[in-house]
Amino acid sequence: MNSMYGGVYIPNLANDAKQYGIGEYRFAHNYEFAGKTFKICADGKEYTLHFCCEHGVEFNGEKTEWECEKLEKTMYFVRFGANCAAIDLENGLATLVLDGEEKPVLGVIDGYEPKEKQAICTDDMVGTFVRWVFGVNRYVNHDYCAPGKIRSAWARHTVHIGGGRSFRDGWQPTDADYVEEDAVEVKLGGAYYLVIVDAKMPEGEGYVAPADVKKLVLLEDYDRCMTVGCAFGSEGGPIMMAGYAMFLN
Amino acid sequence: MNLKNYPRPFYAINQFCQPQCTELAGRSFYFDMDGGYDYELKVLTGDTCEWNIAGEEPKKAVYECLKGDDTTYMFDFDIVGAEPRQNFFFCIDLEQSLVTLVRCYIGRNPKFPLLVASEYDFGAIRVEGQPLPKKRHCLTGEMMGTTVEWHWNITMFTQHNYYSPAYYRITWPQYSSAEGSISPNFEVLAASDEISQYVKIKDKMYLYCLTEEMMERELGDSSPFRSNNMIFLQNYDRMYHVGRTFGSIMMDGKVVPCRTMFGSFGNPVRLEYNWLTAENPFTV
Repeated sequence: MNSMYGGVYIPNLANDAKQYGIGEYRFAHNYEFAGKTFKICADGKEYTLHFCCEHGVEFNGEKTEWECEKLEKTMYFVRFGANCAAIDLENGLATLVLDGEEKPVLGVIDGYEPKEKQAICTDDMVGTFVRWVFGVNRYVNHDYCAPGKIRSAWARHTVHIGGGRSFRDGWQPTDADYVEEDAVEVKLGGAYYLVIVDAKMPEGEGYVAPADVKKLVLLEDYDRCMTVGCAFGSEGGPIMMAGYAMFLN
Repeated sequence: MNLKNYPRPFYAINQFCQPQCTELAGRSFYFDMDGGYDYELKVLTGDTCEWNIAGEEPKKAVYECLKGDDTTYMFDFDIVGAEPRQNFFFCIDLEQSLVTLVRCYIGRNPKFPLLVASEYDFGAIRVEGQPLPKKRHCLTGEMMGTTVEWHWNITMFTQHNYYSPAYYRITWPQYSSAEGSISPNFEVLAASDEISQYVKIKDKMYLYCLTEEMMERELGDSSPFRSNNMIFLQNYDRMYHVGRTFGSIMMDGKVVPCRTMFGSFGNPVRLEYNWLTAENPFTV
């Protein structure tokens, strides 16, 4: 965003980083898992995640790539291929969201004996109305309106029209911009929740998220009020994200 | 439950701080510094390290490390046993094999003993089989003209104007919680302009360093903030920063150390022309 002063353009490093879309605030990749292996047990099944190096992982023996964002001291969000996981090294919990599976896998990491396990929420989050800001003017409003239901509204692009003004300056979603989506919310303990949204992208032009996103998975921390996660299903590939919360009620 | 009401502790500028990064554990570095004293750094665990000037005995420290991007780290520790306190801040750039060291000292100014003094040193990281880079991180004027809004926590955001190689100025709108939390300290000052330094790390990444010097000179013990040095590793590619404070604060009438890790998310902002161009009353 440059400004003009006396006919001279003054450079300004602040920008809207539009090349990253809703992935703008993605944290730096975290490589702490490189070289580590986790055996995860859930419902009598065993899953193995072997992080071979900073980019390659084997999941149950199948090779794919991975990326990780760290949310808190011992809380990580990992995407591997079309799958993802919330890994809690304090309590030894691994919650897997696997491509094609309807429900998340609530697993325990081998070697840990957690005092409390993760659990599917009932009405734990109902009443929460939060905006997750993923970039400059790029956000989604999430209204946890009923167990397993979220009302969502994505922001729309601002378009600079000159004179320092933008089309849609101060734009706010109205009722018509909200869609109701199915969601699975998992309580991970403390302030942490994993929210898996069966995304129904709004019809029409100008929304900040790609129209073909199918699934949104967010690891949300209501203590520090930040989130990391991933939007899946878009033709451009999975979009790793991070952002901060603004409460709307 | 409306999770807005989650029973969280009070956060100031530290709520949106990204987590400690421990991935350098097990690694050792040799920093070839232009200032004449090379440094060795051995990262022992996720929070402890050994450091020394080359040729001297290693000393232990407890460090904090945050990432500015995939290959750039701020690595920060207080010097154990130093009285008055000292702090070393390394910006470790593994992409370019470069390093910046900011050494901060309290107690160097006899008139204002709490003032933090800073020394900057630039260097290269020795990598086996590779020649030492000739390039360096460097003091820069490239940030001049930047206006940016930083979101520190769920209610507080501030607006910065980087307009001079030696100063910056800060403001906030009335609907930011900064209005209640920090504005009383600024309202008694002639202006919010404060001493700053700017270092270029790479394209779109800068160290922005400020010291609350004017506030300490003007207000002394009538302000709770006593000359904190704040270093921001600012990423204008992704529009966020990570950083730390080193200085002192008044608490219950006593001066106590202030050390905070912080972070925030940014966006461009349009600010009033009159404010942007107002005179800095602390300069000729």
